[in-house]
Amino acid sequence: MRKWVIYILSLFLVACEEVVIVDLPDSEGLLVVEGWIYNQEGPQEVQLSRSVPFYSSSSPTAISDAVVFINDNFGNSYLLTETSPGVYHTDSSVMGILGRLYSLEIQIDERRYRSDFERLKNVPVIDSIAFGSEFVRDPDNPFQEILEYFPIAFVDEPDSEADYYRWKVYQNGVLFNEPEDIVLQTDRFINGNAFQNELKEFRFNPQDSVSIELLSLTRESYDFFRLFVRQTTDLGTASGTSPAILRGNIRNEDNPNEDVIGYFGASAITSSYKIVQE
Amino acid sequence: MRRLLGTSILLLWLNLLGFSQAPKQLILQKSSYSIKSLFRELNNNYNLEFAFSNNVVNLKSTYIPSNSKISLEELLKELAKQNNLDFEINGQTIYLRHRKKTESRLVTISGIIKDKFNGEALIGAHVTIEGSTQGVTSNTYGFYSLSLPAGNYKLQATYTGYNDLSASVDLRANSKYDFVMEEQVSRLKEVVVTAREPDANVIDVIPGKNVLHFKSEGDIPYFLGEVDVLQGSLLLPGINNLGEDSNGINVRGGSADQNLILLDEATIYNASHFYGLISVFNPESVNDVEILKGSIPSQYGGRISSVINIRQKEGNNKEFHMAGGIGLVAARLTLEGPIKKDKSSFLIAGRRSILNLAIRNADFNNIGNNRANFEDFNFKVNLKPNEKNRLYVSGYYGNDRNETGFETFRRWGNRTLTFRWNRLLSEKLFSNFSVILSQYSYRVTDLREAGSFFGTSRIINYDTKLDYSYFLNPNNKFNFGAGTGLIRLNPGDRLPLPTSGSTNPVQLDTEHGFNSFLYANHETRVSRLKLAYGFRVSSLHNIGAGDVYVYDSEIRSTDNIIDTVSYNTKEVIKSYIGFEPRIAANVQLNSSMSIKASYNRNYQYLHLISNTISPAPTDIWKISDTYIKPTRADQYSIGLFKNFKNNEIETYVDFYYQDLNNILEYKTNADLLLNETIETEIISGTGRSYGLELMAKKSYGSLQGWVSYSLSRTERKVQGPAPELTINDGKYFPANSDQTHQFSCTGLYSLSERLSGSANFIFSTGRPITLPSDKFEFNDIIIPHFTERNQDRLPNYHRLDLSLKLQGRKVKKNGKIKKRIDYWTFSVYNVYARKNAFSYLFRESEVNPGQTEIVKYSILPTAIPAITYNFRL
Repeated sequence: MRKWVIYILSLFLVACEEVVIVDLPDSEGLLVVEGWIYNQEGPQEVQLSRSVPFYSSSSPTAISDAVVFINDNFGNSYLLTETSPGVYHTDSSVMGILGRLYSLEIQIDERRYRSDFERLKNVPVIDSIAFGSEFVRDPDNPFQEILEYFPIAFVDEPDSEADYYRWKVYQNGVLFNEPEDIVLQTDRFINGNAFQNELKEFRFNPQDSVSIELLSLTRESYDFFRLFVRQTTDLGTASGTSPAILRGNIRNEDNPNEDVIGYFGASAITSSYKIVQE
Repeated sequence: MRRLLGTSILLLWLNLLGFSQAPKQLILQKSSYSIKSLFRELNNNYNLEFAFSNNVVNLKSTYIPSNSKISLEELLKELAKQNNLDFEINGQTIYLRHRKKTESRLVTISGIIKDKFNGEALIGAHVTIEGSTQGVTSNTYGFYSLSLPAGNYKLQATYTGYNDLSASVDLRANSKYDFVMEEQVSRLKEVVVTAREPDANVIDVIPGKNVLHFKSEGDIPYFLGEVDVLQGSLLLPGINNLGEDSNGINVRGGSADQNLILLDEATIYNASHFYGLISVFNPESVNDVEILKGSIPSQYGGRISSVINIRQKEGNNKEFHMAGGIGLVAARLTLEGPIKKDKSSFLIAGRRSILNLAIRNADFNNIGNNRANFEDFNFKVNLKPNEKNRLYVSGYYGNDRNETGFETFRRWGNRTLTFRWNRLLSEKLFSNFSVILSQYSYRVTDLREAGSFFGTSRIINYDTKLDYSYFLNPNNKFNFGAGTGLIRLNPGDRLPLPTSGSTNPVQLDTEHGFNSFLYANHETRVSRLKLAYGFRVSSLHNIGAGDVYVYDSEIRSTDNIIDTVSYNTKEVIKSYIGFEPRIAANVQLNSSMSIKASYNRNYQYLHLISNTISPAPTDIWKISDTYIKPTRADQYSIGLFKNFKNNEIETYVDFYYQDLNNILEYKTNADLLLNETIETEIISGTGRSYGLELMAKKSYGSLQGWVSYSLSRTERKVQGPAPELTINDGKYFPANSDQTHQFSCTGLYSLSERLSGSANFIFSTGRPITLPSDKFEFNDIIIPHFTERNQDRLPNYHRLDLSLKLQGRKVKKNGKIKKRIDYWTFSVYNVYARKNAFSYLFRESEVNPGQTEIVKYSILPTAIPAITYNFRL
């Protein structure tokens, strides 16, 4: 809440940002896992990569030729096949089922990794979308104001306690995907109520199509995303916490001290769609 | 005396016209005399006349002079000692009499040392007996007491910035004497870190003490032309903060909540306005600020790092005055005057920000939607119903407000009320009884319709205490006392507003802590050794009603709660008791040099729960409970203190080592907001801190100032039973407040009668940070991977500030003296526009997508000029 830049008289006080080159610690080349199973038609996707030095000009290295399975608590096991370097898919028939537990199993060379079991939790439907609007200064003409629209989503939150959600917002089919666009929510203050979420940070113009998804999270995946958001938005401000390793729920079965980054989660999705009318 | 003469049997005299002055130097012819022959020779050669009763002197006894050339005084002293006599010189006549038997009886002289102009008590002024090194220092209320054998004395009162004041007293019975001292006019009237008596640096027994003295006019402006109580302290060795945008100060590496900040004895929980840019104390109402960082006397306790004691002015009890000023940040107004002349006075001060500090959120470009402002009020009243009693009532009320998008309103601030009753029980026994209330609260109102809510958190404490000072004699002083108080802590409520359709109320249980202490301290002096030793026994009872969760292992999490124990109202949930020895010693090597050493232990029972780099106004406090143990600190220090040029230059070098236990650290990703099981987010660590501090200061002359340097290391160690309870594999790592080098230099120069200038330069090692080694991708976002905590540092910080003060004309054109005193200050912060790093940001390049870069983020990277106008009527 305190990402402040002091702005008393703009003439005097302007914070400044300047690119610098800093000596960094040696690269660790860590395994990074990102995988989700949704209650939607497959294929379900898992990505495996290895971190690269911070200043490296290449993107993280894809890990190929790994053996990857998604297992559930009913004894089902689904093999994933590599469709492009580091990207593994199930059959398109594989679909997560509400209430089941899922886990990821990976073998890379001789090393075996396994995630904790994640429950695929239910998610309420988005009843409707409405729009709010606000006058803001026109970026092209500072003497003029224009009207911007933001969506408001209406949801009936179920009575069950400790529900966690993530919101995704798409503009004309494109996901808002900057770190600050990751909207997380707990039902701690709204449990069992009909509520409306004003997604004020997402701005639209007339005739834009707005699509909103609501995803269920477990407490663990919610915590992981919360750390993810803190690490990508707050660091370096007075309200930031100390940087931390983004450990998720995946472990090396033989060497629990190996740092593995990332998460394997299960999630149910509901969505709604509307066009912005003037 | 004249009567003695009348009955005298023997008169030795030669010259009746003895108007000439007694000779200073005598030359004695013989190596041995009878008293009779001695008197005769002195009479013959120097016209000295001795007068005494017949049985006083045995004229046949022998006297052997220690030297053939001897001063009259010395000779008389030798004679007096040998024959148990008293003497008095009056022109050419010397009166001799028996030394009184009653002389072994001690009589006490006591009183108040105060300012002549406004009647304000002078704290820490020194009263010495001329011709001896004995003396006492006035206490917080300006009271002093000296117990001496009956006799004639010449007492001298000294206080930096004031003319020395002498008084001849004939002490026969207990008596009262007030020293009314006059301020020096020739000196620069600037704030200077000053020890109180001119040689306090050397003779004071407490090491690691600094005092900032605020004068009625003209101080060093630190930021935007504002004089500031806490910003000023950052120029002292061993005191730093975490950058321009950070709340609170760090003393010898301690965290911000480890400073006991007292305003007229009431605890201030958050000492900052504007997110740390300026402090909550209106400089016009502050008399002085005492910072105790090395050795904490036993009357203070409850925080482990330092005591910052801010004392408000009492108000002028002679005449009415109004003072005020206006600058870029705030406008101030102070009224003071007598209620009943010389008996009682009042002071009221107010301050308000004049520009809404518009604050821009770095991520969103909605400038102007976020506003901040502040206000504060102080008052103090003192009444003197009679010579033995004095009453003080003082208070503070302050708020910071912040408004986001016209929908979210936040307000936070401190309130205090102090009632004190000074009573002189006897000439030697001074007592003070205080009743203190202090509160800090935070509230937020969010009007966004369906989700609208009102949130609040609050801490209040009610304290009473009784302090005694017993001045046995100039070499022995005792302080003792006791106190008790109740802390009521409401960690947070979040309640729906009537317009809210979707919000559920959340209310955390109120915590209660019952806090008591007892202390005793003896200050004594044996030859060159001064010793202040004592103890404090403190206790905390965390009392119900409340629920305590029971966990099935040391690794607490909400998943392993196996039971809940409920406690009724007033039932003790957990209690702690701590014994805190305190000792400080001063060995005076000579009149200008001493060695000081100290050891003290402190317990802290109240903790600020904050895992951000700098504490936020929203952070809540926590009373030690079943799981969160009191923090303990043991500090050892030793230093050499030396003054030069007749106390014009004070210097010291001080070493310290601190050992810390049960320091609060937080799990990665801790969620501290409205958390009922906060103990699941907190981990416990230990720490150590050590360093060396140097300071040299000149507080006389047209050029004044000081230079300070510190070399230090502050480390933490967190080794828990599980990886999530361990930081950096359980190794020592630098704390956020660790600062290897800190150098500062402050100078004030008086250019002319009306014009003076000041300059501050500060240099320090950058704060520890954690750097990334790798980058990876998750959710299509590039993220840095960080290694061990705090292994690297930001670049060095340095800055120069300049200011100029122009005094208005004191005399009108027609030659009359102006009633209004006024002055302007012009200042420039960060003169050479150094882009000091507040932090590094690690992010994807905007120009080169896919590439990551490190960005140095500077908060005040330009030179910032400011102007203020101040007046006094």
